[in-house]
Amino acid sequence: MAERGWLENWVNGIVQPLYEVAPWIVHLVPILWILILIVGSVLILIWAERKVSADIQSRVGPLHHGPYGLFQSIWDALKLLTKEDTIPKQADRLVFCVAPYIVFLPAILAYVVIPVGNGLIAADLNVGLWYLVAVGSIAVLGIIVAGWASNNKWSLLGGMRAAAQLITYEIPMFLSVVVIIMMAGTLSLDQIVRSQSGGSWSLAPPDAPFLNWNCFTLPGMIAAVLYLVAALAEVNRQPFDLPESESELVSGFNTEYSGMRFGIFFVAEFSNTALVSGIAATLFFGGWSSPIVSEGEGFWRIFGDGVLWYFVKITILIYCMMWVKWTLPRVRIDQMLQIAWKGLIPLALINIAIAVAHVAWVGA
Amino acid sequence: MTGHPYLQLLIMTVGGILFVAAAMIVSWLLRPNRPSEVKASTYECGEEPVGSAWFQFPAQFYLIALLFVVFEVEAAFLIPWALKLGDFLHHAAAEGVGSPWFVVVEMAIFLAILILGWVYALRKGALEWITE
Amino acid sequence: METLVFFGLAVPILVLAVVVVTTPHILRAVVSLFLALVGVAGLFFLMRAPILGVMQLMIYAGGVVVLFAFAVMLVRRVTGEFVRQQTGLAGPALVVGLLFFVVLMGIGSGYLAGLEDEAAAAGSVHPVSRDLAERLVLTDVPEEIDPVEDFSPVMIRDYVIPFEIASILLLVAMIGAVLVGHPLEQKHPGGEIEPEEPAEEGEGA
Repeated sequence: MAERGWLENWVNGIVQPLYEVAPWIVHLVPILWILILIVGSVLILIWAERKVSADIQSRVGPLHHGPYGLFQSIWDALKLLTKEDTIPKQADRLVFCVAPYIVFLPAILAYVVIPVGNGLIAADLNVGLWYLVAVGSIAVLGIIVAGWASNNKWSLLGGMRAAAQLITYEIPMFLSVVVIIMMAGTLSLDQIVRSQSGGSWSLAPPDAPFLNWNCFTLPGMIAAVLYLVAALAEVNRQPFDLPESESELVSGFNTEYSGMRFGIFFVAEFSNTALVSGIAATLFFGGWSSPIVSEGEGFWRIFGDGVLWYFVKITILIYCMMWVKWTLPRVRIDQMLQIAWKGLIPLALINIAIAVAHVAWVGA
Repeated sequence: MTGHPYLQLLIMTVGGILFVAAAMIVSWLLRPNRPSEVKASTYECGEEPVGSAWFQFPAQFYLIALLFVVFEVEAAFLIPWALKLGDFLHHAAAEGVGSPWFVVVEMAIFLAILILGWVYALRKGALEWITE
Repeated sequence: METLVFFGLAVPILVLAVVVVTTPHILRAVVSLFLALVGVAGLFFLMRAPILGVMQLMIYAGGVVVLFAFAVMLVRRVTGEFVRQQTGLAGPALVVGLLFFVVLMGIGSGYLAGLEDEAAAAGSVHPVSRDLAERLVLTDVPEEIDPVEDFSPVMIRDYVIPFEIASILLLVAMIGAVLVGHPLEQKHPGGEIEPEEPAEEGEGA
């Protein structure tokens, strides 16, 4: 119990007096852990991206910094921090500097309503899911103006492509989210997770709580597929990486950015990858609820509902996204539009009809 | 104020801005600054840039954005309906509508009119990417 | 504190709105418009009107501004160059703007007076202050009202006809979009597309 004694000392000695002087300090706790979550997940994802791509291409990947090259991303971050920052003289300097803020803010604002664990949610807003899709749609402008302000042909082309792609794939994303709202009857993400951990009416056997997940209903399954395809496009990953296709547009909208300004775009992009996986896990795969046991005993307790399962689920989803990325070729812009307008959107509308039938028969 | 339901949004916005600003300031303290004419020129794989990048774009992008706004407004109408669909279907009387199917038919008409527009765009070939 | 946040949002919104109509950089005008619209969404959240807030974010900040940006890109003359925004009609525009403001304030204060009468009739549940900022911000919303839950029945049950008419409006917008934006519809020789939709840009600028 030495550990507990240390924790108690710490709480009694530092946290408690601080809280008495300034009780508003509790409101700063969510932003602290969300920033830690974002920075931590970005550092791990950069390393994982390299390792997974190396594995798929039969290479070794980063090796030299730390065990299995684990500290590689830290060196990358330090490199970006200490690199010279250049702004092209043709660019609109003011807008050029504002754009990273516009791209980064939605990435952090969206985390407000994501339940990472049981009760681990910054604010369980009554418009939660709606707010989430609304916030997700405002990063588009940051990308357009980043490309536009650079006054570089690659940047502008990349920015415009990114904008066209993001707004096109937001529609199937909204429509698949609507299906979840219909089935759950709430916009609060916390309640959406709880609705998937079974109830008195649940048909699933007690030792297989995962059968309650939304992805094991017909409309939920279709919505999950739609959401995941749209999510690939939303985070500009292959096969939908034409906004930043290296072989033709150098780096897309952020070609002219260097140093930490580029770093912010990088952080936003990887953080969005973790975010869409988190949203998918929350909406379709039960969020932080455990697939095996909800209240285990002894050894099984650690596999009960909680933070662990959120991270297990997003790890699997992110691995699948990377797997897709290194497997499929890039789509062309006309194919990108066809997939959305002629494939995903009609399917999403049909899925809404299926969901009406589901809600009518199975019950809300 | 501390009881305001959307307080966290304010904190996150301010915190996010401060985070990016802090990263910029740390980087500004650490990084070298040796500007030169060549570094400040527009990157075009080593070529001298010809003209400005601010050129005219195909109208197709505008069409995509217009269709997007239409469908986004549609989604905004769908969400409140979806939220109460279960209540309306199973407790129609308590919600003050005669038949539970009232809300379903209502949304079916709403969507049918929009799908008509989608079919029109499809038939006109507006959903294709036209290259000249 | 809420009043402080209110002015912390309202003052930048007004400044940005002035920048939108005065800056000669069309790119800066687009960014200012975007930031002003996001600020207005913040005001809605401050007033505990979350549905208006998310609609503002989703449709205006996420949709309409992107549309404006694309519309600007269509016209070679204004993209990235300096544009003259003043047309010599500043005087009449000011008069029309002031008139619109007066009309809005009239409707708004009439509505607030109605609310006050209602409150007085019901035994003064929440007296509305005279101070404008307090009127807008500090009015207590009774706890039992959930703006999200209560919105849907009103939309679906009480306003069926406007709801269906909205879809016809959207249909018209879609057909218009196809007619205006479709490359094959516009027989443009030599890649020259004539600047179109002046009304759309007028709204943006």
